[in-house]
Amino acid sequence: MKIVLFESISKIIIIGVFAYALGFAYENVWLIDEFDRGLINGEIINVDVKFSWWPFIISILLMVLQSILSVKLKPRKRADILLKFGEFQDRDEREMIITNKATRASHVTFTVAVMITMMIMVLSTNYIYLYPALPIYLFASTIVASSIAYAIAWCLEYNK
Amino acid sequence: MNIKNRIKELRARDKLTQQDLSEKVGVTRQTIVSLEKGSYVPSLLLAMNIAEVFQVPIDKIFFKGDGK
Repeated sequence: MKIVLFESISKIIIIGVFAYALGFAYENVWLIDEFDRGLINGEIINVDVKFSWWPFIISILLMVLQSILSVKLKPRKRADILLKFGEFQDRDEREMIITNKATRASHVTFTVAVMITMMIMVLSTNYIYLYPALPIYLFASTIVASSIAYAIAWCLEYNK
Repeated sequence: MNIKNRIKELRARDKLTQQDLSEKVGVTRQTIVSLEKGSYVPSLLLAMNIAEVFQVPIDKIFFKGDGK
């Protein structure tokens, strides 16, 4: 169970940092709009697009760290790449059945979350214009929601 | 489907802890807990491994419903 909790929590943190990195860049890339406005008036405005590398670097470092810790934590000795790096457990047959159920819960949650995200995007057009990184955070939240659903389903089934 | 078992009783007979049994049959202790509670029905392979540990036929360990 500790592996599932570790992988889910670390995944949520990594997705959060990565979404921030992309969201930060996208907020600034949106300034190209200024460039377009200038161009309409016949002038070329040099847009100072801010781009920050450190959130990307941190997220990549976290991904590497998570992979190393995840491989070390897995009880399985035989090298099976999917079982080592994925959210799979195969310590015994019961855990495999639990994993199967949790994966289904995660899949359903992801599907519903994506549909809700699409609806939010359509309904919040004005807001997206003001805060262009919102769709990135919405997509990140779909992954976070599915990870939470996986962890909850796994832990509930495990402790039944 | 309701499958019951005598694992707890046989484990006491052989003076085995849940951890001992789990190591002998290659599953987690939590799985043995679930088996004893009756909330998990084992695979045929696991049932055979358990029978082998206790030296008792499978049908003397696992049975349907209230039957003995």
